[in-house]
Amino acid sequence: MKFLNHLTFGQYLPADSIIHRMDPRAKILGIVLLLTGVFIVKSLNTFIVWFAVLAVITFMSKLPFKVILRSAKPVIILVIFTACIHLFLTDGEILVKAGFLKITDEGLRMGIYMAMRLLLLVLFASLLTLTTTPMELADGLEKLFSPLKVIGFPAHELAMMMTIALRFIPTLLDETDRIMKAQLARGADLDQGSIFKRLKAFIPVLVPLFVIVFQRAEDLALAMESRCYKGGKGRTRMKPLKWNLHDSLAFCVLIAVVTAVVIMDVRL
Amino acid sequence: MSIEIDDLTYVYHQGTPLENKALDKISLKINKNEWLSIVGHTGSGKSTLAQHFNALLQPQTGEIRVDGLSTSSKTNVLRTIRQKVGLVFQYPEQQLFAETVYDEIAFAPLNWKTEHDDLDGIVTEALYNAGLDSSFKTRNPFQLSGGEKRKVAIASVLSASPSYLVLDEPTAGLDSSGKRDLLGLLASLRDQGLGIVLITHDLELALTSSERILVIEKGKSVTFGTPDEVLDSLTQTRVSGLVLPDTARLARNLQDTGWNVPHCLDETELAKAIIKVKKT
Amino acid sequence: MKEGVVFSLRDLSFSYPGGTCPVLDNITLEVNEGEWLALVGSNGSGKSTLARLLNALLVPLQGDCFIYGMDSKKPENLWEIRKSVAMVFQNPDNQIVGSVIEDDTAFGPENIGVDPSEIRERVNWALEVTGLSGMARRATYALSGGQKQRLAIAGALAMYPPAIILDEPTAMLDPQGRSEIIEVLKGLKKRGITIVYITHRLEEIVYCDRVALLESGKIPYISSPVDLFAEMDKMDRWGLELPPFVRLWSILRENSVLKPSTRPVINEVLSDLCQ
Repeated sequence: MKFLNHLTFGQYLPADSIIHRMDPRAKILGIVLLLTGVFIVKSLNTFIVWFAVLAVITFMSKLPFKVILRSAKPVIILVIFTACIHLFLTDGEILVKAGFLKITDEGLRMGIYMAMRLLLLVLFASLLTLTTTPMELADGLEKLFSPLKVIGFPAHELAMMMTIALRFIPTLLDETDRIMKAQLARGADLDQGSIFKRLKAFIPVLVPLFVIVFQRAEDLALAMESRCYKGGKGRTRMKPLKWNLHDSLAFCVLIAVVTAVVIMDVRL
Repeated sequence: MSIEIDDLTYVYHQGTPLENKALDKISLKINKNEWLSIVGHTGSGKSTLAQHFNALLQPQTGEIRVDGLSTSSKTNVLRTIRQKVGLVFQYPEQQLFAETVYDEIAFAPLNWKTEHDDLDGIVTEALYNAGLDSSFKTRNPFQLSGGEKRKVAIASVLSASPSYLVLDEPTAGLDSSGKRDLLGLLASLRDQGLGIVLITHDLELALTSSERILVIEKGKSVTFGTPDEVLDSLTQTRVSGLVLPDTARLARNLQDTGWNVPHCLDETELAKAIIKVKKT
Repeated sequence: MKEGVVFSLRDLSFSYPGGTCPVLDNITLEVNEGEWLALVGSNGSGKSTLARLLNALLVPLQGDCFIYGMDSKKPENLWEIRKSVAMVFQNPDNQIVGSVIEDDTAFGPENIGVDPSEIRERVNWALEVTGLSGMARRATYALSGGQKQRLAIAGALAMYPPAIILDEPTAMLDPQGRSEIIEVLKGLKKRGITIVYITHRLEEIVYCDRVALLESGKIPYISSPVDLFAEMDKMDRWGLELPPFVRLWSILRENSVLKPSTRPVINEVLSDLCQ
């Protein structure tokens, strides 16, 4: 009954679009490129361009705008919080003053910039996870990091950990809900009092969760061993990744767009 | 003194595309000293119903009154209700967290009231009522067997001295002797004055243990009554996901072909009747 | 090594490290190809431990365990054994690795390096046998208990194992889920797959060829299910409970109302009575 929570943040939504069909490696590299662009620009107008780029890619993904925007909901508080920190704590020419609180022009600029950056970060990341299955993401990351295997980087192991973690998120959320309710039924007070009191009140929720998670790890390891899992060596894939011409094209277009935007920004 | 449910309706995610009416105008009444079972297939709404008894969920329409107190009331009334209605979730041993059995069982009474004259006595009594002796007090709950853990979990709900006990699939995962043990426990709690509500998908369990049974399907009440009445009703109406016990099914099939056998659960009785028919 | 013997246990004993008394004590048992063997016993009788010895998740402390002629104590046999003997466990959730049904089913074949195109074939077959064909792209999270266990079986079958062990697969399922699993197993039996099935529910063993009773780490009794059911007076001592319907069947048999060949299955009893 809790799948509404997972619907936007991180969940895959199938559709028949170019973006969905792209090789995950192209999408991951593309996102990295876009986010680099987002974080190095300095002018306010450029952010508007980035939002336009987001809108275009969203349109191409055939996913409703509402869904993408909703994915920012969980972090809205963080965004506002960060914006406020920059707003009130940056030094510069004072614009407004109320008691000991002051808003400077530099603070205003930093506040807006950080808010924009965070929002774009979350929205682009959501675009990635909404158009790419967890398995594809893990495969993509594993393939991208596999050159590092020569220096001992555990690319496969990390990808496998990611797949399993993503698979169990909804299950864990349900179990957390159930345990919280069980403790509430025994009179636990989970949302009153100081931060310290609330943390202490969560022990009856956290301990059982840890027990479940550790038991799960043991059981799962046994089950995986029974299915002949012995690490990444010699593993094949039912759906091997294929980097196509249109992935290369898409990537080139993206490089061009990002470069253009950055240059435009420098000129402003 | 009873729990009364009037026309309870509950809808998940109302107003969204995921809207789901889990409960649709459910009404029932449970008295103390009584054992009621609620039977339904997974997805019938029984777990949602379980959480309404102690106000973890509140009805959107309809009302639930526990000893006259409405579960749609304000927070402090809800605390009183939660104390009166003990809820044991499925696989309750998963809620264990304390370092000793004593601390686990003392959790509930300490939450409801910080001062107690005889906390030790309360813990001992709860242990006893759950079928364990006081030697368990100092033990580590995580080092107990599965059956013992479950009993500790039940004791940790009983220690709040509830007037009613609602249990969601309490026999899940237990073998036959564990099951018998638990049912015996519940029967003695009922005899001591508790109102027992057993929620299960196991029709046979309900038919052999309770005084009255409510069968629900897709959130609606399908049939209600004594085990005999419910068995009668279910031999005529098919309920999705519910399988009649084999003995009852055989009796029904034989009756359909014209045999003179009773509708019953008791296999010795049915066997006698079949032998009688065959030998004439 | 005899032809057609899948599992051969000889004087096998096992105890867990730090344990004082043996969990399994001098077990000798043979399971033949295509056989459906049930292992019953109360909790703590050693059933799960025995299951784990049969696919080399554990190795014997004393005695031998041969699987398809391979000594389970030899590390070089490990992966061959695991490819031949698949295992399904009790907790449906804690066996599923993938977020999507077909991805999880492909896990086993991917591990043993099967060619990508052949993996797809295996997955399709495994999903068909377990009745999950139409749901290949569904999320694993939202499945019912019975569906999850069927998925676990599909994941095991995709390795094309000639033998499968199931350790109390129905313990956490509702009645519908339980009957789904039994139906799948009946299908596997027809395909000649060797099945070792562990349960404490006696109504689930009626279709088995033989049933071995485990008691305090020993096997004091092994017979056909029908013969086991006849031992009504020993049930309590063995920690078992005869289901009401089986008791009914037993009484009818004693009074010669049923043919000896009729099993305690409702269809068979019904057609026998109505002849």
